[in-house]
Amino acid sequence: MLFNSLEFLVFFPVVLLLYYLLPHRFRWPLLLVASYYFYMSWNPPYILLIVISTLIDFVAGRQMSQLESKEQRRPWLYLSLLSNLGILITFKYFNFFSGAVTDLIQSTVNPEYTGVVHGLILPMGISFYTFQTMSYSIDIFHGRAKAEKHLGIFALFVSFFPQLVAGPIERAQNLLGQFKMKVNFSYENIVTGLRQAAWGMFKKVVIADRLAVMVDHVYNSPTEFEGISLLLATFFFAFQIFCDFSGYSDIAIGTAKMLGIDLMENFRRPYYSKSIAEFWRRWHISLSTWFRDYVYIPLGGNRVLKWRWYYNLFITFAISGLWHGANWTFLIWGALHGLYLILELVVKYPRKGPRWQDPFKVIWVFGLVCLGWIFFRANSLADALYICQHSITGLGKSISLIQQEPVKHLFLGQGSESLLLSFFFLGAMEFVHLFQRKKGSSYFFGEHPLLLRWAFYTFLMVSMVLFGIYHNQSEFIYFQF
Amino acid sequence: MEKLYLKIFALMIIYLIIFYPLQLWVDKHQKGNFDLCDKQEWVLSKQGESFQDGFIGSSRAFNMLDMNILSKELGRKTINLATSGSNFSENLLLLHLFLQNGNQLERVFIQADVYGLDSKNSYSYPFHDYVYLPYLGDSLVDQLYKREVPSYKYLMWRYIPFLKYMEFNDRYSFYKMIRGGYNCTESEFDGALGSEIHTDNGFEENEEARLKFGVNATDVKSLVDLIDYCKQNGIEVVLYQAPEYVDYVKRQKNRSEVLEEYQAILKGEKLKWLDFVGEDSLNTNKLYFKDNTHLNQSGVEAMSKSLAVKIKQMDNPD
Repeated sequence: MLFNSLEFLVFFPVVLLLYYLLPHRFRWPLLLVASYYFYMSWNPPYILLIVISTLIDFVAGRQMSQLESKEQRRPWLYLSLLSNLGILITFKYFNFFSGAVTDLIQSTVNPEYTGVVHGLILPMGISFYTFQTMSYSIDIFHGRAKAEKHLGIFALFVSFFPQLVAGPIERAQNLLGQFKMKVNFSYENIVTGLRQAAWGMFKKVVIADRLAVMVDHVYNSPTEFEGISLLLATFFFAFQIFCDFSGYSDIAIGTAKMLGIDLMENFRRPYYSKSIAEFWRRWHISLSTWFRDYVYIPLGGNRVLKWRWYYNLFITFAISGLWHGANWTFLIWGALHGLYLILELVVKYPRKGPRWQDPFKVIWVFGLVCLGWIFFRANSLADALYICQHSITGLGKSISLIQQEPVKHLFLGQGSESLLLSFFFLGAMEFVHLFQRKKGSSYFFGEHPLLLRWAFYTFLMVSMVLFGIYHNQSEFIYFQF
Repeated sequence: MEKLYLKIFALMIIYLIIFYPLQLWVDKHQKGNFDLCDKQEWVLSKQGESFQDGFIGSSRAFNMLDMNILSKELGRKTINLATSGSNFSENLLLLHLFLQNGNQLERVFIQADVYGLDSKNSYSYPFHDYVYLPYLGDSLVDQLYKREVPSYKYLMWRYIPFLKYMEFNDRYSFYKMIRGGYNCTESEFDGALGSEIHTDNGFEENEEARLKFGVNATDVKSLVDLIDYCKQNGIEVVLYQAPEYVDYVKRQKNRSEVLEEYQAILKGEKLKWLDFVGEDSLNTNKLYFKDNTHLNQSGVEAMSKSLAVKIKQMDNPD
């Protein structure tokens, strides 16, 4: 079930209504059933993976909590990590690694070797829920969290539907306790949650899905395009992925808020970052803090020799790239960001400075991020390299192509109205970001005069109804990770 | 709590004030402005015309009959009302709206094959619900929507103003409406009397050849409803089965079981049946086929002449 579907428009109000009608003790079963139903509406058998992961981590957590020393707890931690990583590797990475081995054998030993691949579908959101449960086990191992005694509540922690398939990746310390707290109906929670969910939906259906059509037009056959078209498609992809993913997070946070549950902030206007380091404090915060806490710091973080520090950064980001997808393009995207961060350290990039420099820094960082997005979005390494090269060398050629075929090369396969609408809605989003810069990310005109607030709500509503993209309902990009 | 109810109520009022008039406007606009390059809309654009023979079905009627040949051979005014990948419910819906527009029809030929009784597995989008949204509110249209789309969807489309257009707002684009309609203003199908014939003579194997077929109760019901609807409107009904390539037919496993279903309907409704699958000259000649289930240009010509002969024999048995 997708957030941007009519099914969800029926499903969520029913769950919300029942949630507040039922006594507290029946609420976790309701949310658990709703979460399993939500996931099973995509592919019923795959719920078994969530159930297996839940049972193993629950048992491992309980066992670890009863053991004194880390040495005694270690086998249970390994059980949890191996089972989660086993599921992840089998479904997500097996074909990638098998393909790499096949290529190696074919080129060195046996050109006839055909290799082994499986045809299993990648379970939706597998990287999110496995990472969430692994963090639970690791935190218990280190004594940072207490093991959950209630299997049902723990199962809900693993499968809570607002954040099940695309995060935010929550920590046990933040989420488990909230399921046990009695939540009274709160006008504030409903209104705040609704505002954030509506804002997320606007970003997804009005901006991201509109841009997606134009981005796909170019990125699915990049060799037909040059210069301006390639640059425009990359610029649009930067906003497509932001609106898609931050839109999902906003809907997740908003729907959870309506249920009285606070999820962590996942995006903080990342394209206003003045350095790559700052970008990673603002982009996919729940994942970057996960990698910081469970990969970077265990590797030694920055409390090591300088070369080792750089190595830790590079490895963390390369793994983060692979987390996004089993493809060389994702690996290069992650490695590129690792290199950016190392370079910022090597050249002692000024993170603070005169205010007049800020716009230049923002543009510089945005450019670097866009370079990374080329690898992230391209269908193959060859496509990515073509786009990098021809975005610059093809500028002159693209002008004549635009004159010959403006619809294909300037409007990216759509009408001029779609391009204009895209810029208009991007402008509207940045207008809201300007307010949020001063008042906080969850600010949606709540304190402004009635007329302005309602003008904002009406604008969202009318935009979504008239200009949202609904048919050929597209999944959220991060579902595949 | 009262504050929340008040806000939800206010939001609903704003929604209604904006979108109820908009829906009325779009409904009216769409019933008078047609994209004539779209087959369904071309049929909907017809008003107050009289035809003697109409042909109904999916692409195996839409792309496989030359109306000009049939008109000439039969000496009757014909029209091709078939649309690509459509099931019997959609066929009935389109025929109903065609007649509602004051058009008249004496006889209808319904293309009936193994795909038609298993439409959900045969066609990617067997009921083109987005086309007929302006007509929701008509009792037969509503009945068919209830049958073909999920109930919650039907209820939301029917009773929440403008929601039906929201999902397909690129089709019902304000930009297009305000700009004055569609790029396609020439009636592409007029010259071909509603047919669309493939212009090449090559053969290409279907990507996914289906070898086993089911019988869907909804499809059976829709076919019976279509036949009954024609009878109620004084239209004579004939069922016919368009050709399929013989080697492909041989590989199909339960074809006869599905065809038995048709025979039961024919018997019950006392209808005539014209079968082209058994006809050697068409079915065995690969040069007539575009793929296993569709004829190419030469095939369409041969089929149309052959059908005309059969119809004449049927009309004049002596």
